[in-house]
Amino acid sequence: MVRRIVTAVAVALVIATPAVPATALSCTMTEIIAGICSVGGGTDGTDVNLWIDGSTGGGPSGGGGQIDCDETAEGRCAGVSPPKTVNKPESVHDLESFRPRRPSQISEPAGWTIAGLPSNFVTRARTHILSGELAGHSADVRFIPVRYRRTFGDGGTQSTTVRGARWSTAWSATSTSHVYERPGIARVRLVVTYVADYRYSGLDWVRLGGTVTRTAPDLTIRVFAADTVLVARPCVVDVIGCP
Amino acid sequence: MRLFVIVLLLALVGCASAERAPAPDPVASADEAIERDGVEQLAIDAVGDYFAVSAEIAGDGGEAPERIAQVVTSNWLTQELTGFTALRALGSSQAGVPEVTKIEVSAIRGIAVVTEVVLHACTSLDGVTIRTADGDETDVPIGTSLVTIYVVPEDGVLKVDGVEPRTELSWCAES
Repeated sequence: MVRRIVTAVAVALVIATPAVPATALSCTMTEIIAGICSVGGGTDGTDVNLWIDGSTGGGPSGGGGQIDCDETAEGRCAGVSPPKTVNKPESVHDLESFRPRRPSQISEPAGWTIAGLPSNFVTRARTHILSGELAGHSADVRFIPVRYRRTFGDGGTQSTTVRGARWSTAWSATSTSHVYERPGIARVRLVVTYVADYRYSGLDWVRLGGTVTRTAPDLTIRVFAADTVLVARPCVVDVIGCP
Repeated sequence: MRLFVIVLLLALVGCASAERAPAPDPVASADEAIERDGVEQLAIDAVGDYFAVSAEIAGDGGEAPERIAQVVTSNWLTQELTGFTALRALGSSQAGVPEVTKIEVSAIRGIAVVTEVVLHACTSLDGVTIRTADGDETDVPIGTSLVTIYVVPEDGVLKVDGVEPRTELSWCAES
């Protein structure tokens, strides 16, 4: 029989916070004012600007007036704000009143992990249909998640097309797992990229060009260090050496 | 390795067989809806309330950040608390309140009933300073901010569900 070695573990929480990538898609007013939020820029290098458009001649609301254009394309603003068609949507940038539902994420274990062991991350984002008004007509828009990009708060990143799944075996490596090398507190940010289709009542779906991204609420992961200590017998109540 | 993992788990739960209640998973908020009549003004008011409460907490150096929960959704609350925690960690506080110089509703989602309102808001940060832990006061890095704000119904009232900073400040200068 294999000798059973039971380990008592001393866990030490290290307060130091690992560096978090500076890119941010969403910031609170406090972060903006305090200068601890960077402006714009998706973490995958694209700057999806779905909600501001100057080409319809009205700034964010499209309600009239002029807006400065750094660059024009076919008479329409380009550059920071993407060109926009007026009569019918062609790209996701035209989906003024639509945005995908906010995705979410979970981690296993929930909220903590141990340095050197895999932590599992699962995305919750599904294909969904929203109804509203598009270019003046009732329409449906279907958002389909296609890519999941995560920054783990320790400098590590992951870009994948799979949402991930809950562990079948605890602490096992998965296609969406990550190993923290050092203890600390990590802020995990998930950006989900969607493609979008639209349809007017009774018509077929039409795929729009481009993609949109939404950021899930961040997760805070406490990464603990673990030391092992050998003890004589299985760790049950009142065994010396057990925590 | 498997044995190592098992014993680690045993140790972390205190070598007891009692189950530990798992932490609740983040859950996406379900879409609520609100009547369309008057929703634009309600959304603008919700943003104004958000700015006011946010400035109040930041003025206290990020203390008692849970006050923000009354004006933001449970989805967005985590982000807000993170921001206030960062402010507290810096030992800084905000002096002055941003002045909303321009605010417009950009989009309303939903036809008969509304599930989301998108607004753009410009705020002047002139006169707003950051008081550092050393007692020094520094100007805010930017004089004007433009943000896209998402407002959704939650528990029957409109609350802020997201804030995204923008760079197209020329819109703020337009009358």
